[in-house]
Amino acid sequence: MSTISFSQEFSASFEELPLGPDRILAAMGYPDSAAPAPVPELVQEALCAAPKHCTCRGIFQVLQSSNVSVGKDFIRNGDLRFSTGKMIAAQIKKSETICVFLTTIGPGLETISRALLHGDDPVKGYVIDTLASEATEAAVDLFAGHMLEYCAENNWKMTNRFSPGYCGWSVAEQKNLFSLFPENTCGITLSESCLMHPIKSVSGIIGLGKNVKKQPYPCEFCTMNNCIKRKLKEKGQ
Amino acid sequence: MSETTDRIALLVKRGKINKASPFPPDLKEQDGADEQTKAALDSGAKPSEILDGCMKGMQEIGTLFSQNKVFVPDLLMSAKAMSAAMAHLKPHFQSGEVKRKGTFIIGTVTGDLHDIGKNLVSMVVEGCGWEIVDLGVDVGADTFLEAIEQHPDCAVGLSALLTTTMPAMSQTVAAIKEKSPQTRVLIGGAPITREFADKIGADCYSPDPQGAANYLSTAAA
Repeated sequence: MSTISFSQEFSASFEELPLGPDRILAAMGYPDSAAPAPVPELVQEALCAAPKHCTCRGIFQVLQSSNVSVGKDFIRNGDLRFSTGKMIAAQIKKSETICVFLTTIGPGLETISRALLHGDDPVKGYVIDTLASEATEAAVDLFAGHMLEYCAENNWKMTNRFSPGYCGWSVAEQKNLFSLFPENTCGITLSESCLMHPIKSVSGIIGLGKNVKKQPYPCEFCTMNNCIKRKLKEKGQ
Repeated sequence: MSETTDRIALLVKRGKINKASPFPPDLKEQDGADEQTKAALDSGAKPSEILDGCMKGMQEIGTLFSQNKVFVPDLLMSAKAMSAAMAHLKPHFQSGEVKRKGTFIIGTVTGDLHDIGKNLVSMVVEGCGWEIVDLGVDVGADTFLEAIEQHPDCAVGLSALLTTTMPAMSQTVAAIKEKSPQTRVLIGGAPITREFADKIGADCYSPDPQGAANYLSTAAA
């Protein structure tokens, strides 16, 4: 018996993503206008080339609320248990149900960046890799924004999104998450070590409900101490 | 430090590869690490002065990186300038005229395909005077053991970006320590902590490349 109450697939072109040079430079760590040459030039060049190599696809599935329950450190969907840890469970607690999602920008940009990183232009390769990572995040946010329309019909709001591998949720739980989707959904597959292919993909859950809210400072419940975004936040950027 | 050493150090730190490179703009049309090294060697500078310059430049940029004052692209540009200088030193390494501090074997553990972090560590450690044996990604314990057999006095670096591949890191450290207890093992990667390093018996955990280079210079050289 299906436990999905609503499913929606999305696609978008690179041009639809809210992605400008400042965001790419910030993701590499540079504060406003402080990146040395040739980094800003390479970012511009990568932004111009990216549309040809990037196809954003995603699927968002809302689980039947009668099947979903949230414990102290887990979320259950019928017999399927996500051991999310306390931090995520606390954020999801007030949700009426959860939405599980997969999103990818495809393998195009990662293929180019990998060749450059291992070839004669690692700086350019790194710039494209960073752009691809930011494009993936932007695609998830774009599609999650579309899902808000569905939420509005139910007077629901959304929590932050949470992914296996973050906030104390083991990346091994990708296998449970992927069990909710048909094989090869959006062209995404999972390796034995739970690495997604294409690498520039994001999977996760979002809590939905009348009494949930999105926290403005997700670093506070993330455990990645060495994350560049945390370091920049601490530095006051 | 000689004038040559200081000049090479500056060119490496600033990522000035060669004269053709327009970056950084304030050094445009000036000789880069490539030409400067060749000219220095031609005029009788000791290869060790060049190596000292590379080490100084990479140490300075590595320290700034640890302090979040420069970022990955800066480090990559410096590494490229260092490589340009090092290319001229190859024959001197082969003849034994200049010596490396030792050999550093590095790889990303089984199941993990991430390599940007590993490559950054390789670049900084190489810049600090070590010979690098890069085993690549998805490297099993047996491959590390074979490499250690070929370089018995080496130190080893293991990288992992996924929490799922941390057990592979633990197994690899155990295998290395069982077969070659004296081999120093350094570990790093986003999910790794000092506590984890202690638990699995690694000799060093570093959150950044310069920390690994500093450890190697003091404890394992």
